[in-house]
Amino acid sequence: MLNLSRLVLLALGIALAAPLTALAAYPEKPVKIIVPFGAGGSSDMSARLIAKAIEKDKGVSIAVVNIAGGGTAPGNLEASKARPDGYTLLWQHKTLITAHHTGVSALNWDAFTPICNVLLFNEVLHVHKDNAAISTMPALLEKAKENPESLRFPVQIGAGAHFGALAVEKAGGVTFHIIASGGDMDRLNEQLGRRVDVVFQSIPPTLPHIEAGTIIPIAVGAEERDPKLPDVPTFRELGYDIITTFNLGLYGPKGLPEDIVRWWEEAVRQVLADTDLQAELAKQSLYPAYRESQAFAAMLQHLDKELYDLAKVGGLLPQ
Amino acid sequence: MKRLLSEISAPFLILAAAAALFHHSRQLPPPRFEPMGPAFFPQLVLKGIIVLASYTIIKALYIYWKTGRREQSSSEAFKTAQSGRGNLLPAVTVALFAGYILLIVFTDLHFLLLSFLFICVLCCVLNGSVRSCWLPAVLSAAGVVAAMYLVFGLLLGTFFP
Amino acid sequence: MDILSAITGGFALLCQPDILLIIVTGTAIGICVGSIPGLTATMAIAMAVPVTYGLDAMQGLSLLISVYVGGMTGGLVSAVLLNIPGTPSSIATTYDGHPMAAAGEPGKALGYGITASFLGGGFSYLCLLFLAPALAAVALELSSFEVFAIVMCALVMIADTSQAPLSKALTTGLIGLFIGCVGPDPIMGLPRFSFGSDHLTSGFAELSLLIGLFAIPQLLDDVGSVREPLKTFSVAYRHIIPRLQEVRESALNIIRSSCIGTLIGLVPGVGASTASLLAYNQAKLSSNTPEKFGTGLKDGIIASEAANNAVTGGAQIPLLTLGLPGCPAAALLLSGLMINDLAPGPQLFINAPEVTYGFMLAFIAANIAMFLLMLLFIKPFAMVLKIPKYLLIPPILAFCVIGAYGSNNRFMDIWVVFGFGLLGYALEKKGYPLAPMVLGLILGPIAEMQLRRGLTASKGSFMPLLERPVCLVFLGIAFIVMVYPFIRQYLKKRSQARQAHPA
Repeated sequence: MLNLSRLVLLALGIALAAPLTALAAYPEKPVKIIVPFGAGGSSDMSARLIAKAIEKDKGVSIAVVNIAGGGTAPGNLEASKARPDGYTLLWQHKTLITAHHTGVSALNWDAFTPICNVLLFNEVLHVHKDNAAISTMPALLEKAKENPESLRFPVQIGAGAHFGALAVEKAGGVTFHIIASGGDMDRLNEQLGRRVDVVFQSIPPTLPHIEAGTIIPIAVGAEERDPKLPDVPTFRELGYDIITTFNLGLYGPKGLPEDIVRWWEEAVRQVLADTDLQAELAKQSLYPAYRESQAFAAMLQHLDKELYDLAKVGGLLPQ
Repeated sequence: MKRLLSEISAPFLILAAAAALFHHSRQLPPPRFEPMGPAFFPQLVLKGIIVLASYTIIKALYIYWKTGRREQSSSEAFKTAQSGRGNLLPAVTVALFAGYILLIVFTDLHFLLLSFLFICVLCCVLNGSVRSCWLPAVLSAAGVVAAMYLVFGLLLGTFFP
Repeated sequence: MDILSAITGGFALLCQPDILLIIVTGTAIGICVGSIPGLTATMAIAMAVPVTYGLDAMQGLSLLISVYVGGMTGGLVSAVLLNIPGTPSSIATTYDGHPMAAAGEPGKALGYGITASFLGGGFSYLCLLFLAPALAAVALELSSFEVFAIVMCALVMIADTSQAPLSKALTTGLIGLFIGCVGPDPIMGLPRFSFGSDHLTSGFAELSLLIGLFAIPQLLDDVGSVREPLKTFSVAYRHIIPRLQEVRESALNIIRSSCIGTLIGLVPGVGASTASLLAYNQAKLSSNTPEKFGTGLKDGIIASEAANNAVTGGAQIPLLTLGLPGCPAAALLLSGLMINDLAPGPQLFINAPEVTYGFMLAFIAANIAMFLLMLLFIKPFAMVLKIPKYLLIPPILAFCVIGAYGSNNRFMDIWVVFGFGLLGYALEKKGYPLAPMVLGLILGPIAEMQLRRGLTASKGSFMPLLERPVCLVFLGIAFIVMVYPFIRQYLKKRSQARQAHPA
């Protein structure tokens, strides 16, 4: 009888301890983080910096895998099909949602388990120095109102930049002449060649030209001023509700266990506190923006609605 | 007649494929931000292919009708210059290559191991006899696999399937 | 700081033993990687990037630069020896390089290629050093319409460069254009011709197509002839290095091709394959014996290789002066600069002039290293041809597989290599040339994208194509190229008729 109860206690103990041991053991093998962007770009580099930091901090092995192309849809798909065992994750920003609303990707953010938000980068609206007359928001909007659909605004059709342009149109109650262009570099090229009037793009490529005075920044689409452009106001300060911050976060396949989510939250929180990493990230104008999974999900839900509305107005919804 | 068929089989297949793809391209969405739209360019290209393939077929038929046999044109010269020596080896190579890829994709066997085996086997097959070539085959396979590991595994950080 | 003291400062930075050692090693690595079919110059730079984390600015940049220069030249080796271009920029080199090698003069073919690469690259690096700001201003004036006109000009040349009958070359060229359409629409991003398959929504990877269409058919062809005895050839140095006389004869060709390469390098997103094609075609048009192109004429090799190396220098101009990388390799160099807190742009010349000029001088140093190393390597490279084919073919096939899979980790890429390899082999057997197909699938998407982008800017009007001078120039050249074969044929027939019936 004593043996049986001991046996039962032992069994009970193992059953209770098993999840704890599983937690302690995770990750047992290398974790794959899928980055649906091209190698070398800032979205890719950011993932690698964070991955390296967590590797060193936690003594685990992380492999960053690029699956670029197709508007990030193939990379998203690959990550969503993986088993929710915490060994395949996704590193994404708002393109996860915008690609869905333009019909490029079948999956939206809710096809995944949002783990946590990690970093952010901001965008700045700028004009060429030859266009100094419209280098303030009021002047820009006035000219845009007088000449609807004539101020040339290059975007990558359907990408985050396009939504940024639509956000400015919405907040200002104006319309621009939207021109199809490419990524940051292409649009900067158009600006420097004076073939366009106003550009909204990520900050790093613009900095040398702002310093040289060729480009005049108007405002930054963020909650707070960007450290790289301390003298440039945010749209909010000027009275316009335009936030186009790109938030880079980690996602897992649907049904990812709670304890794995917690593990990553904690890992990210820890590395983001390291000042060396912060300095490294700041070099690329990337800033810590930690949000744990509930807050992250809430943010995504809000962003989803906002981007859907913009897509509808801008004629980007699939027909 | 057989020669005529062999001459027009390729353009005919190309024509059929182009026509089918053109039909499929009708589903593409209409232009939205500029006048061309997604369908204009592919359809233009497909139309060009259809025209050229038809031209090739009609020309071959015309010549056949006129002369009763296929003309010794420059295309013939180009073809015979390029054609292989008519043996089974390319087919065998293709089969082995297909097998290699199938094993890579559908089994969990490591790429480096499969590559090693593939190189050894194919070397010997191409050489014709196993005895005279197994040593250089194995050595070269080992060397190549080591180079692959170095270049792709360590330096590029790729993952082997 | 004036330009002379900046150059001297850069020179001083460059001439340290560790930097020079890095340059020589980097160039050697680049050459080796570039010469293996399935591996490209961009991959070589990507390999070197992690190594630069522990190095200081000048060291890291020298490494990346030398690997880049070596990699671009390495493509010439497999193009000449194996008829498999190591990179798309060496496609035009295969037209005359391989026939010359097959005729028993591989060393000579390599020699022409190396010399042309050295001179073409050197020309563009001198432009970089002394004319960067002026040329950058030119680059900024190019809108989507200009880029479209340039690429269109190259497109009409793709079918003119092979020995095959025009109708078949045009057919494969158009097939190539269509293959380039499979995948996301260049403007909207929605998939075209994916037939509902997830695997096709992002289209075919360019590298996989290149490997599938060039390497596989060539290798299968070699398999067909694997039992044949190998030809003998000489690799004595006097047979390899072009005589000064020959260089002087080709001076016009070299200068013209280098100019084309440097200017094309300025244009973002166009690429070295366009440059080498344009240069090849221009050499053919200006030649007294255009019909000999494609049989092993040295002018063809020289034009193609001078142009594609000149692109490397040209591409640095927008990178350094404006921070705009024109191709993936330049983007990697950009990240190399950024990691070392060197933001390229107008301020770079002011804030860090020695490093900036050191960067440019490193190209020249790598160019010299490349020339010397290649001369050293010619014999071992040519020895590759002495390796029995049965030992050579299987490893290359294996490299093709991993080369295709490596960049995006998709099995689909391997299937693309296999499928298009078989398709290419079948087409080639039926007399259809493959080079126009590959050029079509590279250039087609660029042309379509640029035209449609331009149309959004002009609100649907095609007029800029006729109004802007650069567009007119290139479209004019395109027109001439298109009608030239017919005009030439007509003139020949007329002169033949005159000879047959003297009036």
